[in-house]
Amino acid sequence: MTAPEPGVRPDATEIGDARRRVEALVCDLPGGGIDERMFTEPWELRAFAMAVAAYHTGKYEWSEFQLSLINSIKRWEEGDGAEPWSYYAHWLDALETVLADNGVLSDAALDDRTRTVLAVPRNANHHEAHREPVAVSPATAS
Amino acid sequence: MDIGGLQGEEMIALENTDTVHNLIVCTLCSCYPWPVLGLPPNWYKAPPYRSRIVREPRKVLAEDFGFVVPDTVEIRVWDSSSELRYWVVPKRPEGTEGMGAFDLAALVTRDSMIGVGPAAAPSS
Repeated sequence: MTAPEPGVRPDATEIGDARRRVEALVCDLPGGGIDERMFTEPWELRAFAMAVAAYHTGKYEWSEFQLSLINSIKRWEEGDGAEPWSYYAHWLDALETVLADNGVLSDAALDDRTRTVLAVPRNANHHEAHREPVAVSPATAS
Repeated sequence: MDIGGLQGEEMIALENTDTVHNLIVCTLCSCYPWPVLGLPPNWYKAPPYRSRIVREPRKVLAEDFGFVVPDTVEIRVWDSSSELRYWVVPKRPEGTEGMGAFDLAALVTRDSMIGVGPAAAPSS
């Protein structure tokens, strides 16, 4: 992960704080060279960050998450090997399980939301005028 | 200015100043003010420009276009859509005080109207 471009307005929201916390965590870990990439797809990093952020906001105990992750991996190992190995698929599975178990996000709500996202095309609002800048890089000197 | 036509039904001109630099992109595809600028260059339609220019506009301008925007200037990135297209009015170059509209027009390049470069310098 790269640091944000100098001069980009810091996101002062709770989500901004969570993002910075995960960024600091990941950036401070050893390793992570080009051959030991910790994440191969952007969604893996997002799944990782969501799990850490949800833990920090007290949605579950870390031990619960670990147990759930171990179980998900164990189910894969005991299976017939039809599913290809994906560590972060298990990570995501574990996250969904602990969120559901703790009443944070039900399976039904997640399915609903997934259906909605899949049903909305990427260009859903492209016929509308966008009257504000999509990005601003503020002056850092005067 | 009596400009309009297909793919340019509604357009807004963004004026660059000493403190604000504007540039345009179509984050989704390649929306572009055809009647003003013609058809877009290939890089305008390419995913690298469309995504990176939003994330790190200052860096992309400097690295890909060799155009360093001073850090005293705010950069605003505008998303053209099928409904509303933007184009940029570049800052008047130095040394053009005595020039009229006709001569100034010759200094306005396509890139400067996308916002990825300055207007050309007067040759005099």
